[in-house]
Amino acid sequence: LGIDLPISRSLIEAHGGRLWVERNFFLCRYILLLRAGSGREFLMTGNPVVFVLDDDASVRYSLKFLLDTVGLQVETFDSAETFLRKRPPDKPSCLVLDVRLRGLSGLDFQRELAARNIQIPRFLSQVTATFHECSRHEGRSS
Amino acid sequence: VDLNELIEEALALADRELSENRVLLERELTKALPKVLGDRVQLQQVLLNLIVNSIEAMTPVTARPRILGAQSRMHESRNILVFVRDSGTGLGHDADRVLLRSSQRKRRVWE
Repeated sequence: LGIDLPISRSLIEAHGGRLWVERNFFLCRYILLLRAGSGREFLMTGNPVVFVLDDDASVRYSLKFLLDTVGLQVETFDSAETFLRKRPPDKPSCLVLDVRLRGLSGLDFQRELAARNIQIPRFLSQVTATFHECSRHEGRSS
Repeated sequence: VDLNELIEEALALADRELSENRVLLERELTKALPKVLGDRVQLQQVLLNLIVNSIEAMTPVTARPRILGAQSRMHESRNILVFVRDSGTGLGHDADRVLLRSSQRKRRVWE
């Protein structure tokens, strides 16, 4: 049942928190310290970056413009291949991904990420009207 | 993620262990804590692990009540502190052995 202490501790540290134990003769106390705060505050620490992946230059431009205005660092890519060539940085990041990419599609790209064990929160952008058609074909199998 | 909610869920998951080992529960959860950003499942696993560890540490206790304390509260600088405490094995006739063993275990686990 449950996981052991070293794993617990590394999980907590991955959350930016600390976990330690205090023992005296009569009791043993585990202390867990976690940072409180909203998602936005969390985003603003550690130089987060938003990756925008879209083959449409105007979409890239407008998304970058929009995210710039709220103070986020943005990097744009025109294809999944370009993104995969560059190793994702070890910092908070998320991915805005066009589901209908030229070349490797958005859904294939997600499989590729999973195969490479790259975990990154992502949002599928559905700017094209064909999203539903596409997700019917592929969404279920992914 | 609401930590109090997670603590309650972890306690519910450990409910069988608690009752089988006749452990009393003492909750001191501070209401309306700010939320924490994190992976719900992972944090719940951690809490469950601490609770189960504490319950296991109390199995040798027979002369005193076995009490598991779960406490949450704000800490300065916008941190949340969670305590999981047990009434432990105490200082009995085998205290040296227990202390030695626990300090060895502590070293192995925490360093």
